[in-house]
Amino acid sequence: METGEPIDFAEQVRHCALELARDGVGALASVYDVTASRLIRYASTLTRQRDDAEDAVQAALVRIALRPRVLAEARYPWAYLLKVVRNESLNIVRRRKPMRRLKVRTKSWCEYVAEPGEQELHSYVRRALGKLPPTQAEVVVLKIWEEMTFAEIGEVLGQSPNTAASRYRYALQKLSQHLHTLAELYHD
Amino acid sequence: MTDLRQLREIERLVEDSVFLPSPRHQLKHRVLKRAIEAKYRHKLWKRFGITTSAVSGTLVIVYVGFRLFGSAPTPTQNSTQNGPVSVRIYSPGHNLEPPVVEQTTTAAGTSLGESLYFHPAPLQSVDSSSAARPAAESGQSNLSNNKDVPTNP
Repeated sequence: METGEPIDFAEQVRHCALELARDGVGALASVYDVTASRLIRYASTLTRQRDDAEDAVQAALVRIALRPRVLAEARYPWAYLLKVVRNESLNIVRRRKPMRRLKVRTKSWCEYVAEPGEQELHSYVRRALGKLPPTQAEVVVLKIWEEMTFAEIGEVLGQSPNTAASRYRYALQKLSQHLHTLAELYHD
Repeated sequence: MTDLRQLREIERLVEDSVFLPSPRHQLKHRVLKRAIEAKYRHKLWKRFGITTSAVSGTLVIVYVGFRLFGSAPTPTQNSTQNGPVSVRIYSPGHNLEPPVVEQTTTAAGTSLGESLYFHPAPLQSVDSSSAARPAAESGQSNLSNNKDVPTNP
């Protein structure tokens, strides 16, 4: 699985970014193929809706296509790409009408992104993750599923690594309230 | 208080629940299409900006060139032509003639106040006689000469 090799994945993104800077918009397809699923997953934690997450990813990739050199020259291209997606997601959330925002909040974002035919346990975990505030949920996603360091997470969020670490700890404590018994059963 | 072991268990549980959502089929097509359109628009705007700046730069250079090397207006030698202009306003009830200023002859190099001080008698006699008569005459003449006053053109 791709998530098991974070360094390779980051290198892959860097390679795609260099291609994009060299070949232009034609190389955007390879960037999309490599990153789209993960970007949608991350954007979903912020927008809590699949359509908005896809819109955010689209806007971010178009923005990157206009200035591919910035991505290629970034210190962490993958972190930079996530940051662009984050900004676009927050813009979409900000532009939402108040009533729609209220409706979305009542639903868990995992209901939109859950894949059919998965174990009930995993969907329960993701539902618990969806109950967290977006600022904490995104740190959990970046730390556990993207396997990023707190320094990289801090770069994505525009915060210090310590802030990212404390948010992560709060998030885990909240998750443990929901998943305590489930975790014991799972590991037994 | 949750202990560290419990947090590790939660961490592992979340780690095992990893998933990757598969993006919709049309999304890729849409993204690429939008990117190409945006790139094209960006290029057009860039060209438009370059053309506009080139044209405006040329116009500025031409204007500055004309100002520096073209036929600049020569400064006028006769400055009295552009001197102050005296304006007279005539009303229908008054003479068209400008008021005559009486020039009193005073001793050379002395002011009026000094002449009054040093020669009180002759000046008083002259002034009283000349000041009383015109005042009386002017009253009559004004009344009698009203019909002679020409209309204001």
